This record gives sequence, structure tokens and C-alpha cells, in this order.
Amino acid sequence: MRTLAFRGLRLSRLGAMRGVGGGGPAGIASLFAGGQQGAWFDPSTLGTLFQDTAAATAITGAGQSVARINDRSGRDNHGIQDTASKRPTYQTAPARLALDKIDDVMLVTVPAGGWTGTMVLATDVGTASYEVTIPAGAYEIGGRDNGKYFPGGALVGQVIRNGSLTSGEKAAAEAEMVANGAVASYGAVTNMALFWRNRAEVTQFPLIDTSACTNLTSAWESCSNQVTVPSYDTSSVNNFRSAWYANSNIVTMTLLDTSSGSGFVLTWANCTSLTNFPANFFDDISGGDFDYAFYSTNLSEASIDNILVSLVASGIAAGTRRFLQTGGSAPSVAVGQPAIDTLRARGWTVIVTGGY
Amino acid sequence: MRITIACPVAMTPDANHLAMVLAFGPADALTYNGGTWQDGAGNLYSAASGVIGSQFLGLATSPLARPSWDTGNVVNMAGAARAQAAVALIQGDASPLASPTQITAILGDDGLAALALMGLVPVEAAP
Repeated sequence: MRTLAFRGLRLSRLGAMRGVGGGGPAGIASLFAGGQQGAWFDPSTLGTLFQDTAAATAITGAGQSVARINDRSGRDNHGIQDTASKRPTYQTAPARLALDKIDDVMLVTVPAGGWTGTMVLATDVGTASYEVTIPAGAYEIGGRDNGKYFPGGALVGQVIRNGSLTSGEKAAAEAEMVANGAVASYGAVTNMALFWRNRAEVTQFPLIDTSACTNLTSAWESCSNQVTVPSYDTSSVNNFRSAWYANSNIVTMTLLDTSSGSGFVLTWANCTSLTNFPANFFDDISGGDFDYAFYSTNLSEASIDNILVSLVASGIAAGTRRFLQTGGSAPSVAVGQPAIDTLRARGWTVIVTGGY
Repeated sequence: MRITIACPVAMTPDANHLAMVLAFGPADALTYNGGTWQDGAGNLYSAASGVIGSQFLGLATSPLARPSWDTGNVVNMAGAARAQAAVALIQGDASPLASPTQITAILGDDGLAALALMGLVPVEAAP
């Protein structure tokens, strides 16, 4: 046991030396070479992983619970988990922290001043870079909201740097993590339910490949600091339930392909700033379940008209047909109300602001 | 080996005392928090899932002893014993469904699948 612990210590020191640019290759280490705040978690460096929070007993093989992952940035912002059941599991090929998505999470203490910059998050199903603002205090590494939500099943690498990365730095960091075994693209993922739920620290999500995804249930629910929705390929998505629920800083929705969509329950509910909604959004939908879809929004008259006219254009006249909007403006007499009449004639139940 | 446990919210205080006895220390009092899973009847549960060693099940089913670290009597041993008595480790043909009258535990590598087997789903946000 002593030998193993000693090996772990040696590896840890070597990793730390590389992490601060102490003679090793550039890459992620160079992002912190100027003394920048942040953290770098790298399960491929076995010497950074420990079975106890005091870093006395090294992780030596697959299947062991990880109580501590040391920060390779050189800033000593280590990830710790005191509670036994909440510890992720070390796995190999690739080296990763497997997350049960029930309660597995590690905590890093973000120092005074917080971090505003870029987070590169590499997982077993995809890798992406996010713009983030993280306040001082405990921050969750692994599953968000006490371990429940994570965009994948395992953490292969993670960098958070105070100060945004350039596009070249992001690409290089992502490539380094992919070289360590992370999957580069989310393009093969069919179910992204709950992936980024409660990521209030993210101010800008990247444009990822969602072309194979059929289920976006609660994918970005309560991402309350997201302002702009990227132009995702949502052509395969049939379930948008709660996808942007309580994204309270979105003002203008991006036009997306909803041609496979049939479930829109709660999709934009409690998006209290949502004012501008593009025309033709629902022209080609496959089903009409919009219960609570626009509950407590701030849609302009033109926007609610756009939505209703688009639902008419969809031609949906069978199956579930319900629509609800509260908050914001009522539909116009000239455009919105005739659209509601048409929808009701097709069997829709329509509830809108103003009570028409 | 992994164990996944669903604890009715009313039993979480006792269950956290049992977790302190069976795991490592006072931090294990945070094993169960909140009711973020629900059954078909709307009963709320806290869930935990973790890797266990080969000795765990033997310890968990034996008479409980106050942990050596607990010199300050942090652990409520009576509460821990109540929780231990309420544990139902699902085996064989027993119904895997969670119940508000028991602490349901399932062995298996996939924790989320175990919770699904118990008939539990995440609590959804309400409008």
C-alpha cells in the first residue's frame, strides 16, 4: 500500500509540474502559465486521483471511488467529495470519472472574485466549450444539482479558466481532451434529456451537433443566464418538453427546425423575458401538444401572432391539440384572433393572454 | 458492486444516521437530502447510489456499533437502527417498487435503471 501511495504522490508531482508549464508540453498547461485563476481536472493523470479527501491513498485501479481530484492548473483548486455515496467511480479506457447521475459530484471552492471565462467540458459522449460566470464558493464538478444532471455519463476532462479562451485555445484544449479519450462531438447522442439542466453559470452555450437527438426534455431547463440560443439542428427532435423552461434571460428565440416535433409541453414556460418569437417556427410540426408551452412569457403581439399563424400553417387537425400562453401581449384582432378561430375549428383548445 | 437506495423523505434523518455508521464519518450525514424522486402516487424520495465493498452487506445487516470516530455521540444509534429495520434489499421475486414505508435498495451497476425499476421518476418543475 505504501508503495502504491508513493507512486501516486510521485505521479501527482509530475502532473503538477506539467500543469504549470514546468518543462512539459504546452497545451492546456499553457492556459494557466500567466498565473490565471481556474481549475483543470484530468482523470488521465492517475496521480491526481485519491480514495480519500486528504490525498493519502491514491486511486490504483478501475472501480474505485474517487474522493479527491487534484487541480492540475497549479492554483490548488482541488475537487473534493466528503460523502461516500456521492463519489464518482474511476474507470479506464478511457480514464474517466463515471457519474451515476443520481448523486455523484465533487466540489471545488471557487476563490473570492469568482471566475468569468471559459469552461471546456469533455465527456464520454461529447466535448464542448462554454462561456461561464461562476461566483465564489462551492461549485459542482460532475453532476449538477447534487449530482443529477450532466451532459454525458462520465467526466473525461474539464478546464475552467478565469478569462475567456480564444477559439484556438478552446479547440486545442478540446483536442487534448479528445486525445485522452473524450468523444469529440455530440453528434451520435439521441437522448439529451436533462443534460445541461440548472447550468445557471453558463452565459453562452456552444453550437453542438444535435442532429441525431430525438429527446431534448429539460435539456437546458433553468439555464437562467442563457441569452442566445444557438442555431441547433433539431430536425430529429420529437420531444421538446421543458427544453428551455425558466430560461429567464432569453429575449429573442432562434429559429429552429421543429419538423419532427410533437411535444412542446412547458418548452418556454417561465421564460419571463421571452418577447420576440420568429415566424414559421411551427409550420412543419408533427403534433400539437403545446400545453403550458408559453406560460408566463412576455411575447409581443407580433410574436404571439407569429406562433398562432404558424400553428395554422402546420395543418395539425388530429391527435393532441392544445395551446397555452400567459403573460405578455394578447393576440391581435386582425391576425391572431382569426388564427385562433381556425385552430378551434380544427379541434384545438387554445388559451391565450387576454382571454379571447 | 453498486447499491442504489431510495429513501422516503420522512425517513431521511434516520437514514443519514445509518449512513454515518456504515460509511466513513460525519460527512455521510449528507447522503440523503431533498425529495427529488417520486413514485406514481406522488410520494417523494431521496436517492443515493454508490460503489460498495464486499463487506458492506454483512455490516449493513449486522447489529450496529457506534463508529470509532464518533467520540462525541454525533450518531443517533436508535435512529440508525430504525433505518436499518426499514431497509428492503430487493432480491428474487420481491417487488422492486419503492414504498413510503420502507427504504428500498437494489444491487446493480446502473443506478438510474435501479430507480426506474423502483418506479421512480425525477420530480418535474411545475409551471
